[in-house]
Amino acid sequence: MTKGTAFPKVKVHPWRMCPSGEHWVVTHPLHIPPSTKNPAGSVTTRHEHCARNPSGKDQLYADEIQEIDKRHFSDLKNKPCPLTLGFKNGAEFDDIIAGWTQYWNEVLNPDQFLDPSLVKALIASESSFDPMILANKKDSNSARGLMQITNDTRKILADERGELKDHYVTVTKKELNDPNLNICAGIRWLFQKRLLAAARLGRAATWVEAAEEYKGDLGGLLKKNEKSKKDVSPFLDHLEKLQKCSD
Amino acid sequence: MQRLVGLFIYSCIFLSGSWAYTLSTHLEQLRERYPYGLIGEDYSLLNEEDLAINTCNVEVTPFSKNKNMAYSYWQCFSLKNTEMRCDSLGYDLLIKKETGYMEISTQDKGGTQSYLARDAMDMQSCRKWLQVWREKTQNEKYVCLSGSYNTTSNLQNDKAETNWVFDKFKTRKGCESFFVGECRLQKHPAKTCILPRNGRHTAFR
Repeated sequence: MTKGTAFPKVKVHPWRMCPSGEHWVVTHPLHIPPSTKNPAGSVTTRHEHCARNPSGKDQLYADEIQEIDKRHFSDLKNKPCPLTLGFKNGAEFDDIIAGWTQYWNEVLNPDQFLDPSLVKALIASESSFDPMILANKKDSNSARGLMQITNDTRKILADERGELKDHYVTVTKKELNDPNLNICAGIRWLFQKRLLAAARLGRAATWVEAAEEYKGDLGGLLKKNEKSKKDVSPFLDHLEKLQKCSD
Repeated sequence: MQRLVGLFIYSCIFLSGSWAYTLSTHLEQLRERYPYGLIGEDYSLLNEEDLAINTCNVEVTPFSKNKNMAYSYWQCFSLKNTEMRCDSLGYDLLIKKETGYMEISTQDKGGTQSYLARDAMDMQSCRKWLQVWREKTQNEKYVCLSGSYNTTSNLQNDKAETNWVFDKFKTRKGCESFFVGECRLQKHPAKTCILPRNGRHTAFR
C-alpha cells in the first residue's frame, strides 16, 4: 500500500489492515491550506490508507481496532462459554472477547494460550459487564470500562519507550468506554501482567496468576493475606462456572 | 387532671401507632416492588430508587449463597458496630505503589459481615474513601451497605463471616458508590431496570 519500501511487507497478523510498522487511517476530510491558486483553501476527502509509524514499531490505533472487529469477529469459533453469570448483558461481549483473545494469542504466542472464558470471568469481576463504568470521578488515573483500565495503564500500553517491548495499543481515555477498544487494550495488558506475575513468582506464571496480578492481588496472595483471597474469590467463582460450561 | 393524663396516653399510643404504621408501610412498599433487594430492616434510610438501581442489568433473585453473585443486596446496620478500614499490603516494589484493601465490616449476633472493595487499591484512594466515610457517618446511627454476595467462611464459636463485594453505602447524609453514578438511576438504560412505582423516574425525563 505504501510505495518505495525496499523490504517485503509482512503483516503482524492476517487480520491487520497494514504491514508491520504502519497503521490504519479511515477515510476522513482533509483541509487543504490556502495557496496562490486556491486562496480560500479547500476540504477534500482523504481515503482510507496506511500511515507509517515514525518508530517503525507495531501500534494499534482505534480505527484499525474497530475495523478488525467489523471484519473478523462475527464468525469466530473459540468463544467463551455463553453463560451470563447473572448479568443481563453477560454474553453481549463474547465475540469481542473471542476475537481479541485469539488475536493476542496469535501475535504474542505464549507458551500457554489464554482462554477467552478467563477474560470473561475477569470482566465480570472487574466491571459487571458495564462498559461505561468509572471507578472514581475525582481521580484522573481512575479505572475505566469493562476491563477497568487505569489512565496510567493506558499510557504504558502506548509508550514505545516504556514497559512494553512491542505491540502497542494507543487509545484515548474516552475511547476506553468503548467495549471493543477496552477489551483489545485490556487483554494486551493481561499479557503484560503475566510477565509481571512471572517476575514476582520467579517462574512462569499461569493465566490465573496473571489475572490475580491484574487485580492487584498476587502480592497479597503470596503473603497469604486473607483479604487477597477474598478479593480474588468472585473472579475464580465466575471462571469455574464458565470452565464447567465449556467442558 | 385524669383527663389530661388520658389525653397524653392516647396521644402517645396514636403517635407510636402511626409511626409504626408508617414504618411498616414504608418497608411493605419497598418489599412489594423489590421483594429481595433488602435483607432485614432499613431504618428508613432507603427509598425505591436505591432498590431500583440494584436491579439494573442483573437477574433479580432472592438471596441465596452461591446462586446469584451479580445482584447487590442492601443490609442496614448500627454504626456502633460498623467500621471502614484501609489495610495496607505495604509498598510494592514491582508496581511502585503502596496498595491495600478497603473494607467495611460490621459485627452482629451471627458473626461478621465484611464488604470488600473489588480489587486491591492504591492506599491514597483508600484514605480518600475513609474521609468520605467519616463525613457521611459522623453523628449518624445507622448505615446501609449494598454489595453482591461473595463467600461465607466459618469462624470460631459457631460464628460466620459473610463476605460481600462492596458496591455502595448510604446514611441520612447521602449515598456513596464505588463506581461513579451508582447511587442514581440516571446512568442506567431504563429498560434494564425494575423502575420505581411512580413509573419512569425523574432521572429519565
